[in-house]
Order: sequence, then C-alpha cells, then structure tokens
Amino acid sequence: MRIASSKPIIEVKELGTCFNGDWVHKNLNLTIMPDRIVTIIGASGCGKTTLVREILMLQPITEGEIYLMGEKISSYDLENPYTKRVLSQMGMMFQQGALFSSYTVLENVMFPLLEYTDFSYEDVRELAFMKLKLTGLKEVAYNKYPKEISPGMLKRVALARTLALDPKVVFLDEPTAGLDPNSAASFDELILNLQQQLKLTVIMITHDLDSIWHTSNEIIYLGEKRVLLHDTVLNAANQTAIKDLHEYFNGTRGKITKAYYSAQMGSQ
Amino acid sequence: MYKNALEENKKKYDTVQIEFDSKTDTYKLSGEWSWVVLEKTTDKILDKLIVSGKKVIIDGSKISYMDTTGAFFIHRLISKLQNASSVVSSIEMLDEDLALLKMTTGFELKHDNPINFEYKAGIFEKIGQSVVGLWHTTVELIEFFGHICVAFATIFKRSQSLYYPGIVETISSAGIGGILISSLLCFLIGVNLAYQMSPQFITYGANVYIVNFLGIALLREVTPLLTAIIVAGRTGSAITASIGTMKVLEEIDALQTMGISPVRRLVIPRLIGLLISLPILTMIADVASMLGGAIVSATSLSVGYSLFLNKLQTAVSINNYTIGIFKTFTFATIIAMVGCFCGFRVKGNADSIGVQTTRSVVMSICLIVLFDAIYAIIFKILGM
Repeated sequence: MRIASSKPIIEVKELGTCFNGDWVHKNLNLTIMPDRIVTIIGASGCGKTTLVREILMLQPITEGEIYLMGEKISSYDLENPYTKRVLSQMGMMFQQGALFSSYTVLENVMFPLLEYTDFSYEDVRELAFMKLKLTGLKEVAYNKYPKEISPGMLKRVALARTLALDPKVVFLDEPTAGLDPNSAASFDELILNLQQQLKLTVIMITHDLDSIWHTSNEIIYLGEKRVLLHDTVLNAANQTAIKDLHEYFNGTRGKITKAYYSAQMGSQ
Repeated sequence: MYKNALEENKKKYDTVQIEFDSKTDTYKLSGEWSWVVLEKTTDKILDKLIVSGKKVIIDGSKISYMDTTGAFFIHRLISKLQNASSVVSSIEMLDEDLALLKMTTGFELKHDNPINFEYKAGIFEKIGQSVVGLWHTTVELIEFFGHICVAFATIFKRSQSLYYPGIVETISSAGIGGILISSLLCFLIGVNLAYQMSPQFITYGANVYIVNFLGIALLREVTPLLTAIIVAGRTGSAITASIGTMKVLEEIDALQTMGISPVRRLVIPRLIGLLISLPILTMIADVASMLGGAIVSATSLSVGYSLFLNKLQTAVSINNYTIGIFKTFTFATIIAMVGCFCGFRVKGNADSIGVQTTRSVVMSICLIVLFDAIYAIIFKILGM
C-alpha cells in the first residue's frame, strides 16, 4: 500500500471576491485533504460555484491566496505550462455536462487525451472506450451526439471526460440535478465507487440531500461570505449553532432523509 | 508549447521501464505508469518484448504509480501475450494497482465491435445526397413561404396580434443602421462605373450619354442589387443567428406551447420591417450612386451638374427607377424569408448556427440574383 499524502490538496487563505462592489467572499479560509468526498453546501447565491471556479482558475480572485497541491496559483494564463499541468490534475464536471455538441460521445472523451498525450488515434479511441465503460455507459450511446442521449447518460459521459486524464481532484457541480431517483442513486454509487478505486478527491456542489448523506465524508457550509462550518455530515446535521444549516438538515425535507441515514449509520 | 511542458514534467517522474527476464520468464515493470509518462512508443516496445508459447509472470511490484492509462497498457501487454499463445500465470502488484487492473478488465475495444464500423458514404452517394438535400430544401422553403403568406394574410384579420416593436427594431437595425454603408458603397460604385466608362464615351465624343448609361445601369440594376446584397449580409445573417440561438435555447418551443405562432411573432415583423426599410435604403443609395456618377461626369467628362440633372430627367425614363424600387420588395421578402428559414433549421449544436448563417447569406444572394434575372426577362418581354 502506498502511503497517502497527508498534505492538503487545496488550501484557500483569506479569499475575497468582489463583483462591482458586492463582496461574495470575504476572509474565506478552507483546507481540503486528499482522498475524500467533500460537499459544499449553502443557500443559492452564496458563491459555491464561484468558489469552485476560482479554484479552477476560471475566475480571477480579488484578494487572498489559493494553493493547489501545495503550490500557489497566481497565473490565469493558459499558455503557462505550470498552469496547464495543475489543471490537468483537476477535473470539472459542469452542471449541464458542457459536452462538445459537434463531437460524438466517444470523441468528447477522446478530446483531452488527444490534446495532452501523444498516443496514436487508435490508442486514444480505445482508452476513451475504457473510460466510458468505467462509468457504466452502454455502448449503444458511444457513437451518438450529446443531444441524442438522455440526461443520465450525458452525466456519465461528462464524468468520463472529466476522468479522461486521471485527475487527482474532481469537481462535480450538481451531479444529480435533473436525474430521476434511480439514475441519481446509481450515479451516487458510481461516484463513490470511482472515488475509492481511483483514489480521487471529490469536491461536490449539490442540493440533493440523498447524495450528501450517501456519498459525502465532509460538509463545507458557506454563509456570511465565508466557511461557517467544515465537519462530517452527521455533525453538521446535528449542530444547532447555525440556524440555516440546522434547518437545511432538519426542515420538512431534511428530517426524513436524516432519520433514514442516521438509522442506517446507527445499524452499521 | 504544451507538449514541451510535458517533456519537462516527465523529468520529474520515474520513467516507465519494461524488462523481460528470460531466466524466470518474468516481465518486470517499474516506474510511473501514467498518461504523463507513457508514450506512443510504449506499444511498439511491448511488441518487441512479447514472447510466444510461454508461461510468464508479470511483476509490477516496483510500479511507483499507476493510473487507468497505465492499466490500459498492462491489459494490452496481457492481450498481446495471449495472442502469442503465452499464458500469464500470475500478476504481482500492490493491492491498489491490482484492484485498478481488475476494475478495468474486459473494457478493451475489440476489433469486431460495431463502434468501429462507422458508415462512410462514397462520392456518388454524397452527390446524390446533396441533390436530394437541395430538392428537400427547395420544397421546405416553398412550404415556409406558404406559412408566411397565411400568417401575413391573417394579420389583417387580427392586427392586434402583430408584434410592432419587432418591426421598429428591424427598421432600426436593417434600415437606419445600414444607411451609411449602403450609401457609401453605392456612391463608390457610381464613381467607379463613371470612371471606367468615361474613356469610351470620350472616344466617340458622346460624353453626355454617360447620364443615360448611369441612369439605367445604376437605378435599374446595380444599386437595388448591391443594397440587397449588403442587407442580406448584414441583416439576413443576424436574423438567422438570432432565431437559431432561440431555437437552441428552446425559446421557440416555449412560444409554441404558449399558443403563439413563431412565424407570426418572429418572421412577420422582420419581413414587414425589411419591406419598409429596403426600398427606402435603395432610394437613398440611388441618390448616393447618382451623386458619385455626377461628380465624375463633372470632373472627367465636362458634363456639369445642371446638365446632368436635366439630361437625367429627359433621357432616363421613370420606369427604370420604379422597376429598381419594385424589385427591392422581392429582395426584402427573400432576405427575411431565407434568414428566418435558416434560423429555424438550426439544430442543437454549436456548429449548426455558423453553418446555417453562412447558408442563409449564400442562399439569399443566390435567390436575389436569380430573381433579378427573372425580372430582367419579364420586363424585357413586357417591353419596359
């Protein structure tokens, strides 16, 4: 067994984000350790997606520092080899999949491999095939275009493309949004399975309480422009100090899920 | 640029090593088996090391890191050995690498997999498809014209359902926004034509006939045609892109579910807007082009401005002017119809908007020139 790194994979220090005079984040501090599933939650508009976009260098920060794998990210220049190297170890699955509409499913997964590696076209094709199989997508969809497949399949393709370059960190933006309960449950299973097998650090934004309880190791609660809580799901659900978070897990919807999963955890 | 960066990165990683120990029949794998380090040549190296008809061991215990790409190449090694009638008796690796190898087992893309057989049409089939496609497009365009006629007829019945802001918007963008460019180009064409023809007229001492020539050529043909082509390029493409984006974002479906006809809401206002603005644009461009011709006539052919104007009134019949303006109504219809038609044909992908926008401009210009030719024949027969 290789020894897992004990260094934080992502560190955010005193982050501030300002849009036209409005501060979305102020003095936000965050440390994420490797090999776990961390879920970022918070009310709509609290800056969850903005935070992820900043970590991925899709958006400039106003103040503060972000460290990815121990190294400070300061450049937004995609021509910078260092930036590209760090980004190749990060994978992002966008909410709508963000697949290239003019490429087939297989070509979408081949795209990053063709860009980054020098393997032959045939090898890349076979590699992409393997990555798609890993996500459990049926072969019948491989030569289809994104618009011809169902949302559930689309999410799997997006995940396969995210995993194409074997990233160490995977960001998932609302991975189960818009899926039927069966597809959402199997997608949760897939994420759990892949995280364990591929030793991924998964950072997820979701409002799906089932996903949170079923997959997450840790919860990061954003509020008042900073991280208000960073703890396990059970502790987050049982705390009473933060009213909105308490309501999140113990409200009309939350209490049923909490009762079910708490009982399951108890029986284990 | 990036490939170079990768080369630099590779220095930081352990290189991949594959050795075959013939004494123990063991493949010794070491280094980092990841996409960053593995190369195109890996496959050829594997080929060289394959032994046939033996019972071999794969020893990967010294692999420092393995990702799914590394697992892919180890599977390939196993598959090559099996093809060479060798048997892999055991695989020694760290548990996590073995788990990854197991997880990716059976995911090879076999040669007989239907995914590999993409149907590619031959040249004759492609020509045939284009001809059939052209025929279908023509039929659909005529059908669309029918829809527009029906919608146009019903606006007189229920005028409150006409979207007036759309008309104003089209007049503003296509008409007012296009005045400068169309006038400027027509002015320059007037200058150009007069300059090109002036030596011919001077040779025969028929300087004053430049007015006849410019009057007929510019007012009847060149200015309406040129203005229509400019508007097709500016406004026709904008119409296609705007309707196409609405199609992609399912806004047109939303209109339909509200019981609002997309043709009535999106096409008719643009058509009316163009029917108003294109003739006016052409009238302004007519003045500009004649001005260009008059300036050259005055400077190069000694035909003064007052003589030019007098001659224009007597030598060029009003028919030339009215025919020129009359044609612009047809051109306006073509631009609006084709622009909207191509917009509605956009499919839900990023390329489609670009393809349809280009097609819209090309189709509009072709139809404009075609109808111009048809009109020339008709008016010739009518003796106008």
